[in-house]
Amino acid sequence: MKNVKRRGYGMIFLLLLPAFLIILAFYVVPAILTGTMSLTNMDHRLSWNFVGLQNYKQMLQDAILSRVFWNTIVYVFGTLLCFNVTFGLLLALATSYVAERQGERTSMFFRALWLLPRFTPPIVYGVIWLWILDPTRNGLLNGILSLFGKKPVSWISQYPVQVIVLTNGIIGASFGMILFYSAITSISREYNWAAAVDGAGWLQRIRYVTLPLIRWPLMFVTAYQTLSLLTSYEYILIITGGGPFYRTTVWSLYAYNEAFGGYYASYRFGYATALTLVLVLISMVASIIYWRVFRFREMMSEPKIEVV
Amino acid sequence: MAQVKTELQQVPRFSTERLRVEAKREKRKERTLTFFIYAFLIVASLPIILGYGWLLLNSFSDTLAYGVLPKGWTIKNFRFLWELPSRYYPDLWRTAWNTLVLAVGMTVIMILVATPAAYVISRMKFPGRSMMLAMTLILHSFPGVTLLISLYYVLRSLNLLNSITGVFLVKAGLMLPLGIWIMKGFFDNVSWDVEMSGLVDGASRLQTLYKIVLPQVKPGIAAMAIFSFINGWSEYIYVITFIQKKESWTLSSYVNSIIGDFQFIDYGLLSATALFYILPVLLFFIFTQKYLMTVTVGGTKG
Amino acid sequence: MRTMKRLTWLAVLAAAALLLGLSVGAAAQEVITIRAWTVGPDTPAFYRAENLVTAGERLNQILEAVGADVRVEVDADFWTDDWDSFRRRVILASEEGNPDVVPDILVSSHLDIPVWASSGWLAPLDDLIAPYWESTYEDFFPHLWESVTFDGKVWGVPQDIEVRMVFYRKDHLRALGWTEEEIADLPRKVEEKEFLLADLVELAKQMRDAGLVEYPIVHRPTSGPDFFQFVVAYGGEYYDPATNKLVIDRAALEDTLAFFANNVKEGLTPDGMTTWPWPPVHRAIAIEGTAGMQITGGMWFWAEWQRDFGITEEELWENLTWTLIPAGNEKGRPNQLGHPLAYMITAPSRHKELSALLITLASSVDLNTRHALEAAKLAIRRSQTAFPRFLESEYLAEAAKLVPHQIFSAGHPASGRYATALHEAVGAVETGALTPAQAVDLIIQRMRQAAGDDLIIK
Repeated sequence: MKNVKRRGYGMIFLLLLPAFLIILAFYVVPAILTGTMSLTNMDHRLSWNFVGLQNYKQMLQDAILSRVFWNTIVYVFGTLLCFNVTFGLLLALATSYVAERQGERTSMFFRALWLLPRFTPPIVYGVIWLWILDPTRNGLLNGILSLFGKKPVSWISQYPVQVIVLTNGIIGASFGMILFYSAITSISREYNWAAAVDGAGWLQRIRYVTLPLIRWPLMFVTAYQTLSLLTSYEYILIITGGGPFYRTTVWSLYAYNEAFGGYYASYRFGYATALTLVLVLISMVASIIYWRVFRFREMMSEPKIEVV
Repeated sequence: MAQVKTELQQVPRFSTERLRVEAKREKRKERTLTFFIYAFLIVASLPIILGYGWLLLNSFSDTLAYGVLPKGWTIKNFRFLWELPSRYYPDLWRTAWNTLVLAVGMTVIMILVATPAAYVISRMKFPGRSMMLAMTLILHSFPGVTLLISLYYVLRSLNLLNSITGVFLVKAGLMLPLGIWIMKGFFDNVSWDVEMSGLVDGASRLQTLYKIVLPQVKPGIAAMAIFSFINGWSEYIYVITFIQKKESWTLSSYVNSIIGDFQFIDYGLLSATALFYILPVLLFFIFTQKYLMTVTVGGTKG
Repeated sequence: MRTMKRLTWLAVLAAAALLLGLSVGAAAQEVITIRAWTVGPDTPAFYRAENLVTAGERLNQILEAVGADVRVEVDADFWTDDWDSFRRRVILASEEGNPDVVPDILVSSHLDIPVWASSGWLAPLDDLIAPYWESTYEDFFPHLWESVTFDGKVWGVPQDIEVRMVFYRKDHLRALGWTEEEIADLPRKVEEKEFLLADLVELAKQMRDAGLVEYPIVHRPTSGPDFFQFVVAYGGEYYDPATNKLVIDRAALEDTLAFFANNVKEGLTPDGMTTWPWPPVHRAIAIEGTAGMQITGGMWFWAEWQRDFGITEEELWENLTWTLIPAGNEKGRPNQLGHPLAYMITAPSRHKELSALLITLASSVDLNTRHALEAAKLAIRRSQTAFPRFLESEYLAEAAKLVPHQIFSAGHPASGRYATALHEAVGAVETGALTPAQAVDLIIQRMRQAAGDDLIIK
């Protein structure tokens, strides 16, 4: 008996080892280093001067920070609810419908289309949106407006929050779309046949068969994308630069600016990493809430193979 | 609608007439549904279609009217394919090769490393299982940029600075948690009965994994592969920070150099290089969708 | 058999040794490699790297003529990505301090000098350039040396200099009734304080009322040091070189911010100006003429407008003129800001004297001129202004007239953050989020975080 147990554990160990090592070396260790950095006042000189909790105290006195906090909340949950989850799901459902009825090609076309923003270099994506939102008559939206004789609107300065939600959402939706589509198409055909035999139309099938079976991806995408959105800043940086006077500055952008942003980068790595640590804390809280609410533990059903 | 209802009322309950009427109603419903779905897809995709259409047109345009609208047909923007913008740019094809190595390397590592790890976490019980999974979720909350300095130290101590290998190991490390979660979800959905029957038939666990279970999670592998490839192909900041030699640059640095500091933009050249950049990923996507999304039919009800 | 094998082995060894000896003998020439990292990122500025390479070639010609057995190879890198990644690269390499990784020569902004020198990464140049002072460096425009001096020492050799200015659309001036003489007289009026910022605003209002333009006044949307020009225009200062501290001049800052706030209030500047991307700003002033004035222009726009928008130089001369930034009040003076780049020598370098020699050779009149012509920059040396090739460019000659009124960003490590804070404040008052007084308080708060006690608040 003992032999079997050791061999079982041995195989687990072997299969897990590569993943464990890589994650440890390139994720865990840097994360710990970064955490330690937040206790220093490191700047461009890259010197480890430990100053304890000074950075955190400074955060409490930072007047802009509360505004940044609320911006972040609005941005993350706005984009998440409108786009990443909802749109992702709608797109997956729509394209799977098209795949079933009309054929793979059309479905693949739309899915590829929605994936395009995700692998376009951020700068190029930014350039496209800056053309669409151009404040003069030459932009797409203002050009259309001028056809109707209206004056150009400065979209970015008038509707900054909507702009960042939309531009990030279009990218975010593709994550859910791909994952949900894979999940939907891997639902065993027997389920669909059984539902059809029972007289269910497509919509009912979605409601009673498909959605329940993709609960795991749904919840995973929600939780994971919350974290992704909390840490995303690239597109905001390029398109609104933090918005008219901090209106679209989210927490991660603020941290980035402290480290590398502005006319001449300040290289305040100590403060920036402290800000990051707080962000991680917020993410941890969010993850715990998701874990409970979605009952992830339940989803991690008892494993099929007991080692002993 | 009312007409159909009265029609139905007039017809006896179980006649062929009724079936025919009901079939017509079904067909109409289906057509409406199809219409709405297509309308939704097209309207929602409009910004993307217009935006990328503009990009496409720009790459073939000679100059730009009002600085934004394409005018004049030319392929001179594509001269970057055989002519460097300046002597100080790295060779385009070398750069493209580096990018490919980075993307493929990352995808391969993800598939080879995440899949077995996810299988183990999904199927087997061992201490620390939940905690590991939870930890990987937490790790995702570190924005890549703040890890930059720390990663520099790690890479330097491992002597992996200045190499594409170093970069894709880092990228893989940062993406593995996601891969494991995705694959675990797909493994969970594979019915146990199928696997059990394989074991009963005398196959070892590894054999069942390979022959029976893996084919059923192909869509999961497809999803993970496409994310990894995209991620690897788009990598910019690690390449530019950890790689000093211009010969080891990737296409994202190249495109970035073309734009410069955003004050002046040669839209034509930018669009042409962007298209060149996007094309391989599109092809990869089509490839994975065609070959990896096929799901095996059969097995038993799970 | 074994002796045969041994003999063959000996023969092979002997042959190898002979070959080795011959090759070593042939390569008695020593080659010293000097590495340089130069920043771009704009493509036309590639002579920053190229000039060093040419300097190496010229040095080799001399060495050959003299019959020396040494040659110099210059491995110059021209960075085409952006400033940030270049600086990160320097920081990460310099932190290690390994002379095999850190280059010998750096070319970067003068703003990097206080930061890098105070970290001990640069070598002071006073003694290194002393031997060449009379032959080369005395010829440099004297005020340029201010920008590379920090803590009483010289850390860089000026390589690149430009001017900034206010651009005006001549076609709109003509439409308002200005004659060609009046237009040509404008630069003088600004210089002699006959045309002040208030007059500029008046002019903008006239353009607005006549319906000539959509945006009478536009300015740079992104962060930059240009806004200090207005602080000086209102008689303020921002740096005290004697104590090496940054100065926060409340009154001048408030006047500056009030200027920008009022422009928005009067409908002269769009309130979202700081969110505009750059291309529409350029198009508005240079192509479409929907802007009346660009008050934070730079001379390098001229070359870029031609290259990226396909405008001919004739059209530019036809439609645009420029002046210094006008004074704002009695205390102030008209001025323009320059942002010099400089050659620097790193502290870990093993070939400091050789690097200094190369820099001197790269600073010859013809090499500096070819850089100026290609990248639309100004002369570093006085003799350049008499150099025939330099004079061929009418644009450079005209722009050079602004040089006497040049100011520079503060030579202090937190100077860049000061520029960022000021830009933030401009954005705040333009969007109406803060009043000028509140915005000044914000600047003070930001600068306290950045510079600690290194501040003088007036």
